[in-house]
Amino acid sequence: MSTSDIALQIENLRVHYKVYRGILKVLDGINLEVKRGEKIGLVGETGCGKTTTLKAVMSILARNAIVAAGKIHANDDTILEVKEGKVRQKLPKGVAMVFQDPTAALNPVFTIGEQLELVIKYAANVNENMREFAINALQLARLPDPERLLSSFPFQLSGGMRQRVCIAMALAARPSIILADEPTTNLDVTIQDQVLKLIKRLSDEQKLALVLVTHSLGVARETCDKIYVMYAGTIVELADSKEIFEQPLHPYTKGLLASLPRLTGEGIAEGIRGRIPDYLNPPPGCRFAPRCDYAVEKCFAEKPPFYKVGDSHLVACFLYEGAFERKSGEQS
Amino acid sequence: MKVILEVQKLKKYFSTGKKGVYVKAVDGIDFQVYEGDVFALVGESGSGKSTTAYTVMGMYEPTAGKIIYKGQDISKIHWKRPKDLKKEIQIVFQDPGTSLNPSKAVAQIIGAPIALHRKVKGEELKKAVVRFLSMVELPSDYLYKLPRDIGGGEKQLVAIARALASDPSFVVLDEPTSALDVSIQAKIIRTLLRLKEELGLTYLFITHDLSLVRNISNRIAIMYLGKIVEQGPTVDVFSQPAHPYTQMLLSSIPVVTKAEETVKPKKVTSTGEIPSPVNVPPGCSFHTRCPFAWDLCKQVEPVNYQISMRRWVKCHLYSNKEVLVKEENKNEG
Amino acid sequence: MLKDLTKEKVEISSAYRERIKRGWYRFSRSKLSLLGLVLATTIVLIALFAPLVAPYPEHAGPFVDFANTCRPPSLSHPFGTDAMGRDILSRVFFAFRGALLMAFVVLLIVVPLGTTVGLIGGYFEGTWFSTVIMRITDVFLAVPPLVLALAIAALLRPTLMNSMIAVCVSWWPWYARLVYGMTVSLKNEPFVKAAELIGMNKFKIMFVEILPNHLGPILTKMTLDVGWVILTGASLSFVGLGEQPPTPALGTMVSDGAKYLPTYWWISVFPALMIVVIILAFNLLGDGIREMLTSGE
Repeated sequence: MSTSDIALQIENLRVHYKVYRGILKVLDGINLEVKRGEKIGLVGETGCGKTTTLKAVMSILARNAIVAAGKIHANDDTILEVKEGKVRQKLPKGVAMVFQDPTAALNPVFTIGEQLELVIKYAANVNENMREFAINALQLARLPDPERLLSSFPFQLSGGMRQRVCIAMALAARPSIILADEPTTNLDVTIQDQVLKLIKRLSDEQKLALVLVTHSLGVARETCDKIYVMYAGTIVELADSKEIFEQPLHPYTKGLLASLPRLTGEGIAEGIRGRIPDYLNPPPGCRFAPRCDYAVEKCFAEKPPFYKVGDSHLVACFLYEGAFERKSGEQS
Repeated sequence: MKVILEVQKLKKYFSTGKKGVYVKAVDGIDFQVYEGDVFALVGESGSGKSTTAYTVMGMYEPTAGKIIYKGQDISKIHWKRPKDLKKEIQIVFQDPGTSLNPSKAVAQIIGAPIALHRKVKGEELKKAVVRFLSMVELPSDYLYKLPRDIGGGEKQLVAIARALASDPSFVVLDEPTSALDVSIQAKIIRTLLRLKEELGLTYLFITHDLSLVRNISNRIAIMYLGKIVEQGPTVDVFSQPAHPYTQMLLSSIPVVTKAEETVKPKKVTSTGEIPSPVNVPPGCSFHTRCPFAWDLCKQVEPVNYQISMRRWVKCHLYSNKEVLVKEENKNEG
Repeated sequence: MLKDLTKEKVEISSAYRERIKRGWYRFSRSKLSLLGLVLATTIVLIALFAPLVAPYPEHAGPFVDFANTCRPPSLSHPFGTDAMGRDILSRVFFAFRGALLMAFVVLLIVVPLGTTVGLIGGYFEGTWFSTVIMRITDVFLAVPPLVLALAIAALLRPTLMNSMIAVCVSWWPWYARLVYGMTVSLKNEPFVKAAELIGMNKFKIMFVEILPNHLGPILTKMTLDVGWVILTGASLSFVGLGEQPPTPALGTMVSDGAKYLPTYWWISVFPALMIVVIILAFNLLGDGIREMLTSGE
């Protein structure tokens, strides 16, 4: 039973990884908020930490991960908290995750029915009428012939169907929040379109909060209401979907959009010079500064806070210093 | 303009365990690539685009049909091809993580084809490797790095340098940027286009990314279940997609601007699954998903109808167009 | 020019040094691996310098001292003495020599042979040639080492050399199998295809492109095998095939002392314990090597 409007809230999340060469300070204070029924996209390139963020919520971080700071609330329950250096973490209830590779997410030696049963039993705590429940979940995911599917093995299904089965499994857990980690990246473009439309529809129908992680701005635009742009472990910009594309503010967002080849045939863009920073010694100021054409001295020394430009458009860049500054931790 | 590569009625079937059941990966395709072209072969999984590329390379032996390179019939597996041919046609694979030998340093990876074809060693070999590294804008201190020490985009640049190291004229690019981030992709593509101009290369570009294709290729062939369903100049195919599958593909692309939205066809949206190449639907293999399909489509496979200069469509919808010219040596069935 | 060359040497060596440092970090993460390294090194050093470190080196040769037979472990004889009055500790030290020699020689023969067979069989997988090679390998796999050794001993004289031959004959197929499996999985990787398409000949592809990727598992298996070869050697010398008396061999010492159990237990137990220690040492070392060569970050 939840009373507030906000389904998932991440506050100032810092996650580090311990490796041979030292400590990789990947996530540097992530703030994220999803309301019930809202679909938000977490967009960023490889290595920016978006999967780490999801894993932190699901508490499935790698063994060498250290949660240095942060708080996560899911469904009015605090599932992660760091107080005085101690990390208190528990498995979230009502949160389901869909992974990138459906072939790896399904156990090849069990039938779909058996795997669904496991989810229904342990995540949804339903012990009777499991078969009906399973068929219902499969139908929700628009899968044809659910009865036959229950006794099929993953290898008998196509990639798109496997991913839909994974979505059905996520739904069978009766979640109020769905985390999707690049769910369509491995699928063909025509199938991707269908699966994304399905996810969007389900989120609308069931009033599910959706966090869609992707590296494709186009995918985020078509599916999400709000977009968070992530770079090197920091959120650099967040706004409503339309706003981000019509009025990108952060230099990284602009560079990213400019790098995309367009269907209208304008040729190939420059890309963004440089590489993502070394997390061992990340830049002390804005992490994008070394690659930014607009960077000034301040950018290398201080971390930019979020500035509010317009109704719900936040950007972490000193270029917008004149705009109204939000104290870090506060969201619109 | 000379034809550098011609593929005629090419078929590549793979046998499954069962008798008489084949995976019809490539099922009778024809196309020509002119010198200096960037010819794009586009399709989703099961389309046969990669198999076509690999057969052209000689990794597979054609089940039927011919591959003609610079007038010479090369329709054999690469072991049987003459050695000089091997340096003429090269390939850049999709995944730089597996296309570079993890136990070899960059110098050895790029040096191998140079040593093999030009028979240089020692200092001369090193100089040549450094030259190719600079061609892809990598500094010479990459010489002794292992693949695991360098990033994905740079690995792909090394793979490109390796492909160029034997001085080829024709390069097959198998989804060279699919595994890379967008900001790196731009750099790789620009490098590829620059090198094409500088070295006078011809590219056969395999991809499923239509937005990319729109901006780099001059000719495009759309493949579905082993057949080319539409073929023609890129600009024309995009502005007026003829085949329903082309329209479905274009309408499924996630785009980022309103301008692009208006360019996308609206009539045909994605439905259905791609059938397995083991069980290709009879007649026109697309009829199971085509909104315009009628009885003929389920029984008879369409031939290639020419709808304009160097532009073909394999669809019954165009069989009663007045501007129909059946080219004798381009048809099948 | 000279400066360039030196700079380059520095570049190459710094790249290698970096790799070695990383490898050592991975190895030393586990205390057990370090223990294995220490034990194994100690055993090898003892074997090498046995005449110097053994308290009674002459006891390893023809020596009898009936006044001191079957003495229990004490300060002067930490492992006690055997039925001929010889110091067991010293004899154990000398026994290490034969054991390690067998491991060294067997692996020296078996690894190149098995690897080559496995490489060829794996690379040509699918052809009749490969099938024939691998079936021959299977035949050798089916032969139990001890039975073969007994057969050889019946035909030839029972010496260390002959027991080594017996072990070699039954050991090489395991490497062939290992390398075969790894080669089959690698031969279809794009980087091998790329090498083929460049025009490299098959021989070069097998040994220069594919083989270096196998070094990790091969080295790991070799290290673990030191222990197991020594155990097999001890089993053989237990039944009398191997080093002949008076040269000490661990298995022989165990069997000699068997009839004095349980009263003079130390005559059998200490050599047996040493066998355990050797196998443990090399197993731990092998684990560490595997960690070092195969784990990613």
